Amino acid sequence: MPEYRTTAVILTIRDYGDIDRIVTFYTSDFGKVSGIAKGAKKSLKRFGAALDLFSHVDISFFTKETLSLVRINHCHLKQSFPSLHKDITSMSYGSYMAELINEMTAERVAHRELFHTLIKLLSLIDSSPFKEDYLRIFEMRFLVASGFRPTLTHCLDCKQKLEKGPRFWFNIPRGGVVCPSCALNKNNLHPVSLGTLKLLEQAGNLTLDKIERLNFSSQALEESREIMPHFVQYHLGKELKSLKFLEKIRG
Amino acid sequence: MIAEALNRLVRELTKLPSIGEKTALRMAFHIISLPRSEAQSLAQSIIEIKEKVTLCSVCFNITDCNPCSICESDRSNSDTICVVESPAHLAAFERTGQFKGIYHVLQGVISPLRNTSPDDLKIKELVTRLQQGKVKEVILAMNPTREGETTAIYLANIIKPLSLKVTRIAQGIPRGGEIEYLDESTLKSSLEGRREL
Ligand SMILES: [Zn+2]
Ligand SMILES: [Zn+2]
Repeated sequence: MPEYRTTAVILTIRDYGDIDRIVTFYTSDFGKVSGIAKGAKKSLKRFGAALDLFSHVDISFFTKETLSLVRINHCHLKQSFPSLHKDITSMSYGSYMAELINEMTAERVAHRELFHTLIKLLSLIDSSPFKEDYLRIFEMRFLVASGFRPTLTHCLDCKQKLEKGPRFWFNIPRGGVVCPSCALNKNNLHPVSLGTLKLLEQAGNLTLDKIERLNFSSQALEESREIMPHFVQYHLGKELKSLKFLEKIRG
Repeated sequence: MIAEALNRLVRELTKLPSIGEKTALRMAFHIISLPRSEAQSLAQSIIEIKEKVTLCSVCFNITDCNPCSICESDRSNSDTICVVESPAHLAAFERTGQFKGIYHVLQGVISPLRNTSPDDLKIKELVTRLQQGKVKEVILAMNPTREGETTAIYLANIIKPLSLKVTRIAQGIPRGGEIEYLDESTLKSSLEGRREL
């Protein structure tokens, strides 16, 4: 059995039998990988404190081609993002990102850029004050990485560049924006201002080291909150539990 | 027909925690091999436990009488309340024989990934108990995992305004640990070394 080493973020952990745990990692080199951590529930000798949700870890694992589960050999904590759980909102932000990746990425398809985006945004949420902006930035970069980039720069129908006007309209099934003259029937369209569109577009374009400079106004947050999570769930084809949780605690 | 009944049993068994399809199938074949009386007794005991066992209306531990025997008994430290995730954790602390206070079972932890919010847990009920003024200290004894810590910090923030002493069990239990499976000395020392939040 060959042994592989990589760096990863822990997306989910569940008990398996009396003493084992099944852990799903998002790894830098192999994408999503699920593995069994033998004895992890009972003994902490081998994995120690490293096996915790959203931890950034170095792992090594064995794989057999016939099995979809790898066997986790070693797990070493690199970064625990300790502030994440100090507030249920920041905890739910981290959970949303992890759930999104877990639900929407295929097993063993590596995407380094997405991995680095996850680490970067978990670090940002971990450093206070954390902002809702980070969710919108993550969604946008996630959509770009998954090939679902929404069209935000020109009208889906008349193809005109969106340059001026107080309001445009986002169409979730069509994945983009239409201009006021093309938006005749506004059923199921979400209003969005030019400022918000530009912010989202930048969130998808900027290099990772520059994304924290983005600043969403309260209007931009309100508008994008009505669009991005719904757009993501539209592509996923189901509701995300952490999003429902976020709605519940927002009240 | 056999296949249908077997499938149904396997489906039901896989709903149990930690039971995968392979294990469920093995269990199902075992059940098929049992004498009728044993299978009947298994089925009967499942029904019986659902009929007899309820949640204690005070502490939300599982019990066959309400309030439960712990809530009814004279505990020597009844001004100290130990808040746990589950009846299994309560049982683990009771096995130490160390703790003479009372308990409150949350019936879970705050978990965005499972959409378990504070409103889904027995938190309001805990606050009501604390407001009655008999409790002086609250020990937060959730698992030292990400979700356990989230819950402990959330609870500490709502309990502190009530001017009560709030403590967290010691991190003698390493992060990622599971209370159910720790040895008694580790659990004892985690109670002794608890800290204020
Ligand atoms: Zn147009
Ligand atoms: Zn009770």
